[in-house]
Amino acid sequence: QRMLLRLVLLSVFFAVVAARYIDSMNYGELRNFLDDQIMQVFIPRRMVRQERLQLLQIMELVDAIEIPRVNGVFLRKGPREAQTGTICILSHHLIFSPDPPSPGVKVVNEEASKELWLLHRMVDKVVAEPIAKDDPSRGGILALKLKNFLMLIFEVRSLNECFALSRSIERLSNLSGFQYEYPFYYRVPFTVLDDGWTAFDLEAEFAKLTVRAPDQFRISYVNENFGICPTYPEKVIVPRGIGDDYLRISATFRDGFRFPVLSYYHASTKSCIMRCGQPLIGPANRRCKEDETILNSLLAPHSRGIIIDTRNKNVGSAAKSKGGGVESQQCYSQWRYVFCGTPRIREMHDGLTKIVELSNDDRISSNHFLHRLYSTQWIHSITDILCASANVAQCIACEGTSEVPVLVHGGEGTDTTLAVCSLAQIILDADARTIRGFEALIEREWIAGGHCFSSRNAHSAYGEGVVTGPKESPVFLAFLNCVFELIQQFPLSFEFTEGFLLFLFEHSYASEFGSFLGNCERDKKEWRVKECTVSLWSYVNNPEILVQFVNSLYEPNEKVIWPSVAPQSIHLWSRLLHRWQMNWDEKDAVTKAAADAKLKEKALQSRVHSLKRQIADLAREASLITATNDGLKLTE
Amino acid sequence: ASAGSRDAPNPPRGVPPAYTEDVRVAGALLADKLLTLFEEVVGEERVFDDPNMRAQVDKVQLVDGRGAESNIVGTIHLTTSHLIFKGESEQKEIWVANNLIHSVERGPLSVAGCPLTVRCKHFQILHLLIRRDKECGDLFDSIRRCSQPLNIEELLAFDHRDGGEDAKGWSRLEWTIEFTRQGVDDSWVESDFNKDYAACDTYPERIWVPKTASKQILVGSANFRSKGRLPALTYHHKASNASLCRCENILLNEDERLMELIARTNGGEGEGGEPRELLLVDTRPMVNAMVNKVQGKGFEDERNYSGMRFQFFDIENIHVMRTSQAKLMEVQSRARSTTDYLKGLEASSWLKHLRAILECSHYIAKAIHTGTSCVVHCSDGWDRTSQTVALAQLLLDPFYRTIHGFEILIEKDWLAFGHKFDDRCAHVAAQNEEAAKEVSPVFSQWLDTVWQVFRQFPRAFQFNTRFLVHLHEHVYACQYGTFLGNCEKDRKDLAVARRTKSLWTHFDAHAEDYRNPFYEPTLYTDLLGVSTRASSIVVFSQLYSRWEDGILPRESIEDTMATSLDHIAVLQATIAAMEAKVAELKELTGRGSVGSSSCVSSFSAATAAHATTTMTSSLIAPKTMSRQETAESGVFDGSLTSSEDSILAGAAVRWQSLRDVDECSGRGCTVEFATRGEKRLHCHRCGKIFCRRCLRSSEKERLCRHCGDNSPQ
Repeated sequence: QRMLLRLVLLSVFFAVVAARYIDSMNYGELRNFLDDQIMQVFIPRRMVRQERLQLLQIMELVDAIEIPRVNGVFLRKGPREAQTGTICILSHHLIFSPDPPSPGVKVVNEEASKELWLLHRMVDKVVAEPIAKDDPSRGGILALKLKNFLMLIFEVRSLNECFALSRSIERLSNLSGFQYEYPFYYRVPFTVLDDGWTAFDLEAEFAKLTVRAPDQFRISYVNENFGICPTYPEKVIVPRGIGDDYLRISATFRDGFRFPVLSYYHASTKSCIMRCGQPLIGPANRRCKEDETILNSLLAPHSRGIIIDTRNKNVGSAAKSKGGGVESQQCYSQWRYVFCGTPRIREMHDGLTKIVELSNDDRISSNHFLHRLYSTQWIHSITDILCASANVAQCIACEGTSEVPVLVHGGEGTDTTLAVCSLAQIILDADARTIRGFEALIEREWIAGGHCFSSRNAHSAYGEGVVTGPKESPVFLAFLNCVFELIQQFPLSFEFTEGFLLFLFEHSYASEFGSFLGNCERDKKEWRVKECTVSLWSYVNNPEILVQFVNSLYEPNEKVIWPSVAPQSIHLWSRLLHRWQMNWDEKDAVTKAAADAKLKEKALQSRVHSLKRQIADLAREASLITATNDGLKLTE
Repeated sequence: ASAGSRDAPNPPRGVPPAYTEDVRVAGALLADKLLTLFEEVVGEERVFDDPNMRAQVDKVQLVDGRGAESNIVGTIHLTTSHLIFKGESEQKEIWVANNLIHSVERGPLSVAGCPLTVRCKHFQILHLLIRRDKECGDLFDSIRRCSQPLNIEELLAFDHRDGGEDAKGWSRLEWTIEFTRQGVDDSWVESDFNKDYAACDTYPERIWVPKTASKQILVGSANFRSKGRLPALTYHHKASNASLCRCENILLNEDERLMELIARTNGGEGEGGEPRELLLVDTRPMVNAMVNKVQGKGFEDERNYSGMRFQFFDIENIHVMRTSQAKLMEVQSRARSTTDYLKGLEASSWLKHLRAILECSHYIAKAIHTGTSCVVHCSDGWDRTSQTVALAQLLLDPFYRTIHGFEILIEKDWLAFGHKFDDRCAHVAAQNEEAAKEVSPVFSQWLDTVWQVFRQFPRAFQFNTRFLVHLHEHVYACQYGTFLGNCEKDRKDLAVARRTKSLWTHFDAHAEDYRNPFYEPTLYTDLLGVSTRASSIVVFSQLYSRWEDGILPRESIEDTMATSLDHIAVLQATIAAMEAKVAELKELTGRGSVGSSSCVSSFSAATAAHATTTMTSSLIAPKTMSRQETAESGVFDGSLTSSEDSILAGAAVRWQSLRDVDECSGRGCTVEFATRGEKRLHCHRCGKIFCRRCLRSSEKERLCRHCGDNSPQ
């Protein structure tokens, strides 16, 4: 039955394509093109169980392609110099293949003659317009604005083709539904040595924790089958003395059913970071004894905890009328309340839109630049988040030596709460500054922690307007930007490079891997993401891939890295914002030179060590000989 | 002890800037753990004769400007040359040359004490709390008096104790050599018409003019200018055969002839025998030039010159720059929030000015590169002209991006062509309002623009950021005679070359501090790819926030690489020595088995000779180790102290990490480094970081006091 279906589809498809384009392609090209399509569509997927559904999806994907191929397209602006080529549209990719250089012309740039592959998901906004408004015969301009801020501008000879391309890409890049996501169709071209889906299991993390804090925490399975909180994973770490029944009741009191769970435990001060949703106090001033018990169980006798609210005071109080609110001082008398205002998700989204627009404007005057930089508020957002994280870290590592639990929440506790918790861990813990630790942090705090990647990252800076809803927001990007600021201040304390952050940024928006799919663990389970797709970490942890992200100057730093949040110390992340406008060779070369010197130094050091050993051996031998000689002399 | 150190045959090289001699003395004393340090230092330094001057104030609290750290209690000493703060318990020492003090302010008396704020020209700000109001008042008056010398001869530079010959530093710029290097062809010729500064006292005695220009033309050209600064050659670009001239602005329209002659030097004639186009760059905004014209000072009128193009650039005058920098510094020290900071930065317009200079220089460099000769001028031709002309040359000629070349560039375009350092930097306190208006950070602004280019092309420069920062400090500190006087004539009159030392000699001696590890000499010829977009121009925080360690990055890739390179060189030497040793031992064991007694006896003699040193080093090594943190236990490989060769054994394979090193590890010294930007130097033997006072450098290696004493030599 399976084979039959495929055959039917193949023939249908073949017929359609042949009927439409047989005259515009020669046979060989057509053949190649079809092979590509077949590879895309007919690879046996692990996912394919409901055959008919799959078939429909494929039909829909194919159906969206109005025009699969356009010749003679001129790439006016992009990541390489201008050239002519062909655009092909596949169900998940757009391919721009440059025309082969005319014979006799020496190929100067090997890189430029390669094909350009682009995931449709990466496209943020498509704009198509005629080159000249009054003269449609001159063709059209197709501008693709990507989620990584790259802008591609094509000139297409025929205006109709241009519009058809635009419609196809627009539709393909905005398809909603898991079944269309590319990760389900992606085949791994490498062997998975270290499966990212199992590498960061909570139980293993917990085992590490129990060594450091025995009898304080336990794993709770209360959320099995996501029965209580849809955005939490099935297994969570909670204070040991608290029963599941308490958690259930507390969940009803917390926004999004996000009851307090452990985020981080700092072994040296025995303080911990907990996170949760805002309390649903509401206008009626509700209280929840069970929730209070959970929090108070963390306190050592006579100590006080700290609640850090990532909203500012006004937002926090205003939330009360909408059913939320802030913990009242009466009910939580042993907790100190601190507001660390961080930007809301809409502000961040607007900020990013504006700052990307600003960085694309390269003729702006210096003063105007500063003025607009100020008005984007992006730098403000970064500073605020970093400042809140530094505050959390300070509560954990500085204030008093004994156990100070810190509870972090904002509104729902799925955005800035996560950013603040994870940044505090990077500041505090040397482990989170290694590649593996950082992966674990993202997996634990962001992916399992319930940051809704699918909603937040549906569009990035250019998608303002019709295509965006109220949920898009670059929270994760802001987090990466904060990490960049830390790297900027401590370039030797991180095992990974700025490039790794950029890599994560791109993959969080469009990826062939399943890690950032869905809004929470429940989505992942429902769509069997873990079985059917490959984890990003499987790819990253492949030694051949990993090497490009390793900071060769890394010197493990066990100390807490206290960042400076003074406005003079916060720099624009130029590599993110001007990545496509500027040449980064100089910067890369400098880093490489430093890395080479370091490697050479290390090699020479080990050479000295081995020579030392050799000398010691030889010296011993020599002294033995001398002794023997002396002995001989004596006997003589 | 102080006498001993003065007589020391080999004074420690490379004292941190701004405190040469005095520190040497102080360092020697510190090492001897003399608690009476400052009596001695002050004895050495010369106290004021005037009884009204307050030389010492105890129990002064040093307040951290950002409130991040607790106050440090210490003593203030005021000598004829320095203001010194010495912490009581902590190893904090602050030395400020008197001439670096920009202003002192007294705050209202409070419970904590009497606040006194000392602002310095190198942007250090000392917030002091003094117990008694009377003391504070006295100190205030004393600092004000000693920081504002009335006569140029009072400056520190003339007070240098050992006045050894410094010919090397003072002869950095040799006009003939420099122009030969540039490849000036025979269409230019040296003119003697400014002999004894007859025609123009702010120009050098020797200037280069077109060969075809008769003396009459030159004299004419000089005469109708207010200051006689006629167009003179400063740079000839060999590759495009274009030349760069500079002058003050034009009064009348009689310059036509000279301009034409300059245009003709371009060698290649354009079409129809006409000379190639000449570009006249006016660095002032068009409006200013118009105003000047109305006042009769004027600018070149396009109608009077054929084959010439005019270009105006919006570089503001010195008064605007002065205000702008003051605002910038205000923002740097006051702004606490991002909003304040960005708004203040915008209001200061500093980045805008930098960009204007950069764009103008880029334009000139591009024109020269494409073979168009340029004449650059502004009002007087010593501020904006110096900035743009010098930066354009920096963009064009890789020679000027070496340390030596950069010094020549400064000598040529800033010192020789008469940038008024005395007036602009207020070496002698401004006596009246008129003089105060002459003060402007023109040169520091230029250093800032150089850094902006450096930031974009870190591999193109032989020097590093530290070089620029220290250069900036020395321009104001007046410890060296280089930047004294308003022009070459002033310096000649003051005989600075005889009476003071040259800054370049000091820099030569500290070359290791200023070398950029990323420098690749042959990679770039011109830097015309420099980006002048607004986002590429950022605040030079290493200069403006130099004294606020919290703000600057905590770790530096550049310093790590410099240390790595240093270490690699040492390791290579060690490996060579070890390989020789291995060869020797191999030979020994090979022959030993045969039984050659002569060889054996020589070996045992060598062993005996080394025995004593082995003993000492093995005794001392563990002691120094125990003082170090355990994480550094790899520094010293104790296993080898038992082997024969103490030199090889003693060399640490691992060097102390640069991370969080704020103090010298010398015993009895442990003085704090002045800033994070100061170079951290390792002892080649034990691999630990020391301050300059505790290190002795020889040709071969740099050793700390301790290793130096135990060295077998």
